[in-house]
Amino acid sequence: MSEPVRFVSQKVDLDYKVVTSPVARRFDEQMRAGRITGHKCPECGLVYVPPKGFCPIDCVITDESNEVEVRDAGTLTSFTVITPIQYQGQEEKEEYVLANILLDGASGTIGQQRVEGIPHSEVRMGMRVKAVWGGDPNEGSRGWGLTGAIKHWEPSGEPDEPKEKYQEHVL
Amino acid sequence: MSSERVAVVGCGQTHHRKVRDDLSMAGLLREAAERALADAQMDWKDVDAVVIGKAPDPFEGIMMPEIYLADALGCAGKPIMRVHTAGSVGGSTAVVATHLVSSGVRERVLTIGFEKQSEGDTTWGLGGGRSGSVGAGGYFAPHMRAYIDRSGAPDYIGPAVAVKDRRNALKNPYAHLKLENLTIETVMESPYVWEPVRRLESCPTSDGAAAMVLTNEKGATEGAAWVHGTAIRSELGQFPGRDPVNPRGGRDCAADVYSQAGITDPFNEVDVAEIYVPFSWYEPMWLENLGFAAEGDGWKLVEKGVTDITGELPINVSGGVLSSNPIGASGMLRFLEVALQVRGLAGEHQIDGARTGVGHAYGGASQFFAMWVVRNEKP
Amino acid sequence: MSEFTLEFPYRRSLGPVVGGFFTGLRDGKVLASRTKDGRVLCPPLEYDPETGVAVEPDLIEISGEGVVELATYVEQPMRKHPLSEPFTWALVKLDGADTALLHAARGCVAKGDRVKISWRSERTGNITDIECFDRV
Repeated sequence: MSEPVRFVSQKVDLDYKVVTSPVARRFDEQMRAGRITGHKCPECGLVYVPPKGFCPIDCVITDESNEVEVRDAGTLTSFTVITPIQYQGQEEKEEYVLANILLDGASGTIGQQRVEGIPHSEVRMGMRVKAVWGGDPNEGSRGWGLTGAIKHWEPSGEPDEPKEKYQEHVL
Repeated sequence: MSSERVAVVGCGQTHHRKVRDDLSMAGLLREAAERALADAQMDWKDVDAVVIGKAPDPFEGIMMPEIYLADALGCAGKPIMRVHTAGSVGGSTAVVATHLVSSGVRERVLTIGFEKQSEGDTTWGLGGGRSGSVGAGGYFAPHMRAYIDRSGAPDYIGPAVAVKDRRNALKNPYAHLKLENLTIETVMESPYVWEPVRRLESCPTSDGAAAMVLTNEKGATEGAAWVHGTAIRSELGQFPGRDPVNPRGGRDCAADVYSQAGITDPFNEVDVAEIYVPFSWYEPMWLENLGFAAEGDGWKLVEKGVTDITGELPINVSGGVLSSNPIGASGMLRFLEVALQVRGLAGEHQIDGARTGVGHAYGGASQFFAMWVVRNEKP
Repeated sequence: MSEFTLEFPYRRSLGPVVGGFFTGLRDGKVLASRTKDGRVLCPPLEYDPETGVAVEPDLIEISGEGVVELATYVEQPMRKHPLSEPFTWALVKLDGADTALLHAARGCVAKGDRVKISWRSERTGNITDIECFDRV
């Protein structure tokens, strides 16, 4: 008689179809054309990028009439260097930088953005970065969403912003 | 806050380990619950209602474990409910259980927080099954960097917290990590996982459970801990102007619970606190957020040893989340440990004469907060 | 619209009672647990659902044959169902047990039918070691 059974493997395998909301679809279309857009709340004036379709502070609906374009450049407000944990399905193998970036014209940051083109040890808060777009919008090879359309961010070469410009923008 | 006074009459926890391969998930809850019932001198039949909490289902891949656990927790003919608030769930579960008693609806409530992290992968779960999940540490790391930048804290503060909590864990027979001879240097030599956070500044993944029996005054036994305040706050995960370094939800939660307990000067009026510190830098951050230190001064308490087991305000003398992290139980363990302290039952990590204790948990994107204040005397 | 598959192999710690049951299945035996008051539970539970009291530590062997207590017929099995041909979800009370086990029975079976286990030849210690039930 062999060893008692102490564990059992249970494989979860679920197929999802996720319907894209009209707000996200419009944002994706604009991203494909190389424009980063947000919604400006008509009450408080905060600019949300990507747009949520509402302002969670004022509880008002926003739509295309509230759309504004922001720059594809901004200030890195904080970051981490990730050593990827090797769980099943993880494709990342090497260390990489993820940053929160306050785009010029936006009121809050976009989170967990890849920064490349600079040694990890030289990445710093307040650093100015610009988008490196991927694919060709005319050939339809550009990916969806922020992280699909923008391959990564890289230093723009502009002087760093002082603390007071980024300190209140961790998120 | 309440019409009925609430007493903590039973506390029980598992021996937390990387894998409790000797127990099923139900067996894990039972180990904690039976210890709590024994402490309360009660049996399963004495319990009126059960309130359980665990982290989101993808972590272990059992959907609605409360269904399968109802049998194992003696719930035939009784109410059982489950609370969901991500990492803070152990705390909010205890708060819900407290309210069932304080409202007069139930007399004797068993509450259990649990997690069997070994059955799945939390980083995978947090990423919704996709590649590129950075886990909780990867999400929180930029917030810790912002704290360091803002406060000007020296780089050894995080490692100092890691050493302190692991030394405390050596005094706690239930703690998962038992790291002997840890020094600030060895912590600083350990590799970064989510820079600026090193491996030894991060919580482990644990299997474990925590359980408490709460009663009204009629059911209270000699030597119970008494609940003097409970508070829960939540806030949106992200909006412009939100400050994850010192979140408004946490400040408001603390102010509310102190007000219920009549605390005006937390640093001097609290004898012992267990706060949710899964990554070392959260100790100084939460010391400020919870009003134990002025903004920017939290790290100075760590540096001066004020939060050591021998210090003026001992923090996480059980070893904390940095030493044992069964997620759904981690918040409840904070609440439970301070109840043990004011009951004088914490064993080798007992703070002599502890009369007022604060338990705290946080979760989600630093957006869910739960706290309680317990004392050795009735409110 | 985007599509993706969520997939992960969880690993369950079974504990002594369910682990014992699965060990029995691997060895081609059906084991049941007993409550303090002598009721026989199969599938074995660790705790008496009536009282919350732990079951007796030793499992007992029972028959692989029993009676269908409840049944629902599946005419068109789905991709992840245990059988690809039409089958019945059946609650089977095995001889010697006081509770019933849910499993698939080949074809159409009904309440009151006697059925027996069809074992897989390659068994790993899982509920799927029982391929299905067949009418006796």
